[in-house]
Amino acid sequence: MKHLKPLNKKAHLLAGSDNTEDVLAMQSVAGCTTSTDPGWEVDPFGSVASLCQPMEADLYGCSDPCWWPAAVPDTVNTYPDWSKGEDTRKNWRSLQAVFPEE
Amino acid sequence: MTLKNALFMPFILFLCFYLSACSQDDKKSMAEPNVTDTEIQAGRMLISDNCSGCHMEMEDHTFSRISQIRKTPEGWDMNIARMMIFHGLEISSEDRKALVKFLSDTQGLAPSETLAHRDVLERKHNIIEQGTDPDLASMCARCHTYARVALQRRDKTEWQNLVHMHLGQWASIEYQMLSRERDWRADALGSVAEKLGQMYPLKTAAWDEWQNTEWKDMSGEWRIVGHEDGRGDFNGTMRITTTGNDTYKVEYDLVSPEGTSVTGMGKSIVHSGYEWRGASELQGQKYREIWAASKDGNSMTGRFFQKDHSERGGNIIAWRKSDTKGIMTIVPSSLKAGVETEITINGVDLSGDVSIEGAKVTVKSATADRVTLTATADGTPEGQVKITVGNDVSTLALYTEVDYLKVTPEYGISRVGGGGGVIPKVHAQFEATGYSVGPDGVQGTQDDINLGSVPVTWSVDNYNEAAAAMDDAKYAGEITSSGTFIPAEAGPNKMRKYSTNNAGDLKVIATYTDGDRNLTAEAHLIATVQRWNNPPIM
Repeated sequence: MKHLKPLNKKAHLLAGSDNTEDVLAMQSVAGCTTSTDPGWEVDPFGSVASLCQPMEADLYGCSDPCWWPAAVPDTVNTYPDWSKGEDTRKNWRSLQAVFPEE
Repeated sequence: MTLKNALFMPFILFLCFYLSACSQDDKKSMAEPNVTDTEIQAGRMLISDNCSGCHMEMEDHTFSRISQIRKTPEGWDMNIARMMIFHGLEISSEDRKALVKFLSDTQGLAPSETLAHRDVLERKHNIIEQGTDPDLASMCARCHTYARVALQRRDKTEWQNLVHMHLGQWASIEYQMLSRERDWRADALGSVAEKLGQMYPLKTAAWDEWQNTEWKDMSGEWRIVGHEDGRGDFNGTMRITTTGNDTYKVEYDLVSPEGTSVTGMGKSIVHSGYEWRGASELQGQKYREIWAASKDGNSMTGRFFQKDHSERGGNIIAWRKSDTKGIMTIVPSSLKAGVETEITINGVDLSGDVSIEGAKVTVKSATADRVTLTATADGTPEGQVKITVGNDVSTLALYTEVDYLKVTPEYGISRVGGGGGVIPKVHAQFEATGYSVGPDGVQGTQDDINLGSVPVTWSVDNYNEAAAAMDDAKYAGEITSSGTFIPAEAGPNKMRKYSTNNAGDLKVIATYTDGDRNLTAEAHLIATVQRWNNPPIM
């Protein structure tokens, strides 16, 4: 961070804060982004500590780029309305299973 | 021609036509010896009615993108489901089932072609696929099971079409891990499609041979034995009665692992001449069956599981009573020296003297299906010994003490569920097997003796420091006295750090107690999140 300088007000506030370590948001362990492929059920270390959890908070990031389409319905092409209009942190109970049994 | 003849001729022509049509009804197809011409015509009509809006019918009566593929019944069903989801196909439940039946019979897989992947087909929980080609694993099995691929047959061009479908449907496929490090599209359409076409081609000698083998009617009296995971061994009989078109009614009369009588009814359909798919209800519990018949049609093996919890179930072996003879199972499969033990021998057409090498035997009851006895061994010899009923022979393990335990599965997964959501919890079932180190006294060598399931107490703990820091063992779920891990509820948990899910990284610990001795063994359990896409082949 020493080579980066804040340019706007929000960045200045952030640079002056002692709580930057807390910006881990909804992850159990830092480093959970799509570019590092944390996995859906199991993380790269064979555990669950590095998964994006609670997954309800990041479900859009899982379903929209169809990152795990075999487990999580992709909302790009296949199931565009699967979580439409849902704040899945609050309304995860309304998410439906997608394989048509009948 | 006289007037009389002129009137008579149309009648003769009609009679010839009628007789010809009647004989055709029962005529087996030249190309498909186990399927009649009438069934083939009806099947083609089904495809024409439901699929020809997109799939063109060619001059040779093949349909584009359908006739060039072979699959399992589940594979075809998933195909139809995909057409419903992707392309808005509207199809009745009856037509969907009839299409699966027709396509499985005419474009199915031979028994030998499904053998390596039956665990996945049977929806066995917590298995790790073995022997997967590394290149195909990174290309295909990073999202779904390798079995989903290996249970299909296509030529290279059709495998390439499948690649195009994947890329069109899931555009980020090229950017995922194990894709972005390579020229994914070139590899998928090139070397991978080439390899798949060679490994899993449309036309095989195995399928040709199976099509020319007579597919047997399954009707008759059957003996069935099995093991329900976490509960124990059961046995009994089933009466199978044909209801036409490879469908059957089944009456079950079983003895539960606890020794109680269990009766129930079921119905089934047999696809591809050997793929038994059953639905039954026993004491209010609904089950599903995925079994495979042997080539001679006299035995079946496979898995049954609860309709709403496919992870809860067990394995069966069934023998047709009219054509088999011998010992099927011995329960329990081991005898401890110095301890009088009740043993049940299950089989077909059992008769004659009963003996166990190195043990004193007292027969308590004997029928052609089942012999119950008490046995006491003095400890010599030790290891696998002969057990005989008349001329039928099997083996039983004699031992002095349990030397070590193994917990299976060694690496298991459960999933959170319920909590008001539609996805049910996925349990994880563990079992402890006892072992004797054998004559060489060394653990882990070939002479070690499997003593079967042993009674243990179960507990769970945090798997590592990261799990302990998140208190995983406190939140992720509980294990029952029968080794069933029941995960906690789905959804964010405000009691946990970051409101994380009730996921956890746990070790499952089994403890066997024999006097003052305690033996323990552990397994690894990932208690993880639910999935919303649950097709029959994961």
